[in-house]
Formats: sequence, structure tokens, C-alpha cells
Amino acid sequence: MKITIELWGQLKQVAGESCLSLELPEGATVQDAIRLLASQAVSLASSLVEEDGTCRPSNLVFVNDHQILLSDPLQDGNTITLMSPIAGG
Amino acid sequence: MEFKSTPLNPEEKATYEWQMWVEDFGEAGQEKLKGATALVSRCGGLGGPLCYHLASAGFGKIIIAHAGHVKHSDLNRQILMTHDWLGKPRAESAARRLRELNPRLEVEAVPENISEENAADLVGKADLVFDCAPLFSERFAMNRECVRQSKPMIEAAMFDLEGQITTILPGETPCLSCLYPADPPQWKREFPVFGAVSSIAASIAAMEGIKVVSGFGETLAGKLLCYDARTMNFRRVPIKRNPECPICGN
Repeated sequence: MKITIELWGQLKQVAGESCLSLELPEGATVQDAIRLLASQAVSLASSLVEEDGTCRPSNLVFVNDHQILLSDPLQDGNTITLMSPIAGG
Repeated sequence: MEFKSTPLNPEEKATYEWQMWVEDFGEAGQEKLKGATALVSRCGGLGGPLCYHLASAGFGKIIIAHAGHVKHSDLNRQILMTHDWLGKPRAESAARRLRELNPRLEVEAVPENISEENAADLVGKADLVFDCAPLFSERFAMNRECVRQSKPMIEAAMFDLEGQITTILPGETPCLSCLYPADPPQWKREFPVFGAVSSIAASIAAMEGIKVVSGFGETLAGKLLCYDARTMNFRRVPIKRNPECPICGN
């Protein structure tokens, strides 16, 4: 299935683009998508996952504008929005 | 949440006449603003224009918490700082500008940033808090105290051409620690910023505070408003409380 990833904040700056596509097998979860993204976009890896491979809890994750659990399954055509925490003032 | 009302004098009625024409706000809403004390941390690119809007809208008192002295690199966005005040305390510069705008306003200038040591005292003096700090340690300290003292906190932040705003009502909405359970290691103290972008967040946050105090309209409680000034994309997404949150969870 095809998933679209939207990046906000420092994730967008590090990646150099705001929108990416991923191909994932049926039944894949949000966590699977983030791990795959971290493996394909090396510059994003440390911002997305911890050293042990778990997803960083400090990024906000939405699927089709709904806040979700990382273990939630994805559907073909879903859009994952990843927002890195920002505190500029 | 109830906020106290303070009657207006004739000069105040004349000053705020046009905004009292706003439906559902009126003189009753204006009296609530006059009775309100806001804590703003800090008063830079975001907190500065926010303070200006609170002052012009008629808040009774603003407490400004901001350490340090005015530098050249502040002046592209920190509109309460002026060239002739370079090298002088930021909090005093901001207080001076706010009093010029609204001599009826009571301003308390605290030349300190929010910390674990002063958060309880400063939050305790305010009816609501505006979080405009550039470090998560300051934001978390304020969030913890706002939850403990059941004070609303308007959370506003920006980076590059993006901004985020939400209204935190302790016990009802997600708190900052629900959204970000730990200090994000990737956040850096210095960040790209145009004053116009931080002012967008400031204006929206000020309007949130006005609505929370006067009790009209729909706020961003339980919702996160995100904007990207590069594309002028504005999105409002629902956010959830974390039942396991160490600050506000069960």
C-alpha cells in the first residue's frame, strides 16, 4: 500500500522536503512506517527513532488529521503527519 | 473557570468602545479583561506582540518574565525592544513600551526566565498564563504549575515559517506533557524566525486568552492549530489527553 508522509517543523528542515511517499505491506502500522522512513531517510533517523529502534515519543503523529497510536494499522492512501516539537518564541 | 469583573471608568469605555461592539463580548467581557492578570513568558518575538495585544485589549495586569538585555539580534522580531534600549534589560524595555501604549495597565517586569524555582510563585500571581518561551524546560515548568494550580495556559510556539497554538485547560484538555512526554533532544535554542511569523502565533494566542477570560467564542481547547506561512496552510487537528501523563494523567 502507498502512504504519504507530511513533515513539519525541524523534520521538514532536516529532510529538505515536506512530503514523501512510502510503500508498505498490507497490515503495516504507523510505527512500521516511521521505522521505514528512518531507514530510507538517514538524515531523519535520529529525530524519528531512538537508538534501540523505538519511535521517539516527542514527535506528534496524526493519520488523516487524527491523533493515533503508533500501533494502529494503516490503510492504503493514508497520510501520516509527523510534527517535531517546536518551542520558538 | 470564572474570572472576576472590574467596572470600567468613562475613559475605558471610550477606549474599548469598538471592541465592545463584538457580539457576545460587550461591556461584561471588557470588565473581565480589566479584572484579569496575565503571566507572559517571555516577551520576545512571540511574547512581545502578544503582550501588546493584551495591553491594547485592556487586560488589567501583565506580568512579564524575561531575563537578559536587548541585543541587535533581538530587533528583527522583538517589537517591544528598541534600538535606543540596546544593552538594557529586556523586561524593562517591554514594560516601558506597554505603559506607553496603555498607561492604565499595571505591568510587573520580572528580569528572570521561568524556572523550577520561580514558576510556582509567578503562576500563582496570574489568572492565566501565556507560554512563549524558547526552551522546553521553561515550558514544562510552567505547564506543571498551571496543572497543579488549575490555571489555563495558552501554548504558542513557532519555528521557521511555522507556528502552533493550543489552549490548555487543566483537567479538561491535554497538557503540554501529554503532547511531549520528554524534553525533545533535537530542539535547539536558536532557530530561524521572521517577526511576522511569530506575530501570527502571538495574535492567535492573544485572542485565545481574550476568549478564555471573557467566556465567549470557541477556543483551541483540545485542538492544535498549525500554520505554515510558506504555503499559508492552516490546519486544526484534535489532540487527546494521555491517561498515563505524569503531570495531568490519572
